Amino acid sequence: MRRPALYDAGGAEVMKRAGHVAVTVVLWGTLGAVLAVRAYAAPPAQKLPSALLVYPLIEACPSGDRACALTDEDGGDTRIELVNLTGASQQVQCFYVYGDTCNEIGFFIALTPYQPLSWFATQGLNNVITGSSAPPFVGVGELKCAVVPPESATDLSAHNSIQGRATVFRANGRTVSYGAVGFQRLTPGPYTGEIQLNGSTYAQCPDKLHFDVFADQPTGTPSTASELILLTCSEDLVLQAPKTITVQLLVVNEFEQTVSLASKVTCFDRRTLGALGGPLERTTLGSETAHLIVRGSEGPLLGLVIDDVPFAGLSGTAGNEPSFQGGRSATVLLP
Amino acid sequence: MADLFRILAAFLALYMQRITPGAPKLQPIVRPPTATATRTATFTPTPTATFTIPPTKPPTQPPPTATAKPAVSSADPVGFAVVGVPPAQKLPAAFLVYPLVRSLTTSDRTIDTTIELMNLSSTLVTLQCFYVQGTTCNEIGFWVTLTGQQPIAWKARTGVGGTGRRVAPPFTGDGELKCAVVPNTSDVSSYNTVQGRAIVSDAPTQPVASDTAAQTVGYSAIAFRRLSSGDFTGEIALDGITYEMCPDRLHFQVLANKGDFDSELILVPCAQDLERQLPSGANIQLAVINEFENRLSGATSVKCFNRISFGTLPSLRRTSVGTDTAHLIVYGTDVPVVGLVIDRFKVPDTGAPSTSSNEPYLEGGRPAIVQLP
Repeated sequence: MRRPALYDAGGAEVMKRAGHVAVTVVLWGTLGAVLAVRAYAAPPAQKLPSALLVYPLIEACPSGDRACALTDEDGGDTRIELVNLTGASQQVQCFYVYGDTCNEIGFFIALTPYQPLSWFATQGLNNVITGSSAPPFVGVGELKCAVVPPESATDLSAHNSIQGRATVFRANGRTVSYGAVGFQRLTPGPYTGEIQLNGSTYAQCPDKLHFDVFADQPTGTPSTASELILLTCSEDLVLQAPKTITVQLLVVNEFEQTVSLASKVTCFDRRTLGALGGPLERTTLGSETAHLIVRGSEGPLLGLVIDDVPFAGLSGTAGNEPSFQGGRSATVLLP
Repeated sequence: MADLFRILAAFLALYMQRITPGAPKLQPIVRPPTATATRTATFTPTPTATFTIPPTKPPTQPPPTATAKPAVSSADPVGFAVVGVPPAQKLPAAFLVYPLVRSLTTSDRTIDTTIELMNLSSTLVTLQCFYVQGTTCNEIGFWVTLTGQQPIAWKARTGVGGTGRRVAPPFTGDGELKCAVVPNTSDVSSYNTVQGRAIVSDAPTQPVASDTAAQTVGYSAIAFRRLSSGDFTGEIALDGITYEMCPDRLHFQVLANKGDFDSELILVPCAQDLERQLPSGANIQLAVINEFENRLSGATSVKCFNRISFGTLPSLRRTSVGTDTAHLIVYGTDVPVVGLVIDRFKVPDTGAPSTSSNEPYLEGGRPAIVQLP
């Protein structure tokens, strides 16, 4: 009986080749590990065709609806905009998430090539031809939309196809508009409802958010109160299991003096800068603007600031989107 | 980390060569192995705008433009196939473009811009900035220094910051602002350090009781990252190799003009020669797609800065578009452009005026050069 080649006269050569293979595998593995580490700490690039959009603030309160928290009596609404940047039709799965209960309402939107679509949150949307329907939304919360490519099309171009923005306005005309935070798909594959924001399947969540904010002037003329909106990047909408994250805030004024603060977020949080403590009030801060650095301790965060800007005896509002630094992994689970 | 990666890649390449049958025997290594896995741009643009400055006679060639023409594509809404890679936004950057700076006082309106700059690194950063007047295309240059993590803000009209210190020269009129990081070292990390934002506020000069809010537009500066190490020369080559490329086209989702309240499109060419004060100019192709996927086209032009009201563009009127919102694609045929839309509408039911910024989505990339004095 012939012995296995490993033990015959050529065994040494086989062993040598096996050793080469082992060394090669180790080298490739090490190289892969280095690449993986390099992929770590990469924030999501913005303003590009994306596969997942997060709208950090949807506010929809009919006039006089006092049950709608956090808004004034004038009421307000949000115009939600979604645009297909490609020449192919797209299906998009969307979820409103209420800020107070963390509960979701899901719906599907169909977009024809290059189609723009917009609707008011309080009114919703219904199109029997395309099958698009958005339920009316009343309250304050966020919106997430993910591209669902056809099963036959799993390449990146089928995923990275949409962009969105929202315009939040009050009855008195105070308006804030912002671009949705976009995450690109990085590797081809089917859509499963489990959105891995890990820098490999999808772009990572930002590790830190950097805002350039105006200091609050609660007793000034006019009085101003900018707001900070934060939401967790990870979200389990299948089990409806919101997670509470500790927020570390670092405030740097124009003299490079640094103060730290802390807060907590459970799925969604909205508060004035003054409510974070004294350091973000003009009298304490000592300068007109501050560099606000936000980092979630247990997981990454997304956010938005609503600037309340004093000008010529009046005040105006503007959306203040953060700059991103670094990246951390998160998972969004959609039903 | 980059060094470790290069050493590993080099070691792996040498080892693969060693174990490959028939491979030539390795020669003794005299010097340490140089990296074989050199970073190569996936898109290899040809920066054609490599102008040289003649020392004695005035220039005769046209201003720098991105002459690399993409292929004509009948399937594309603007008629040209998308090429290149756009600049990623919201990241620490080396070159910022603020497409709209306004400072104006009339008998009934007061308009001013608060300009914000933020150092995202822990080291001292120096920036060379230039206002460009929209009417004359002339520049006003100045320098700004930011300490580690420092934020800074100033009003365009006075140039004075929140601490009472003058940061920039006063600016009057309409125009744009460009700021480039002048690094301490030639490393990429010394370049990509800043982000910027501007807030354009507009209020009645004499407010009355019915004036409840100022009209405020806040937007982020369009940012370009440095991609390769090297000295700062004042020539900002947005070619996808030295710096990120300019976006090939801009996508906006806009509100169609209804006549009573007019939105505006602001455009600035990406290529600019501020040294010889030669505006590049650009013809602009517009594609408008409504919610029923009907397409319209339009055209306009820009010299160095242009504010265009939607009412003057027939393809953006509600009567032409047929729906309240439209997908607007902006394409500079000669030179890539950057820009911004100011959305204006009346709040349903109350009729209160609403103003907000509308920043574009960026697709593709084309090379351009900004020459700073």
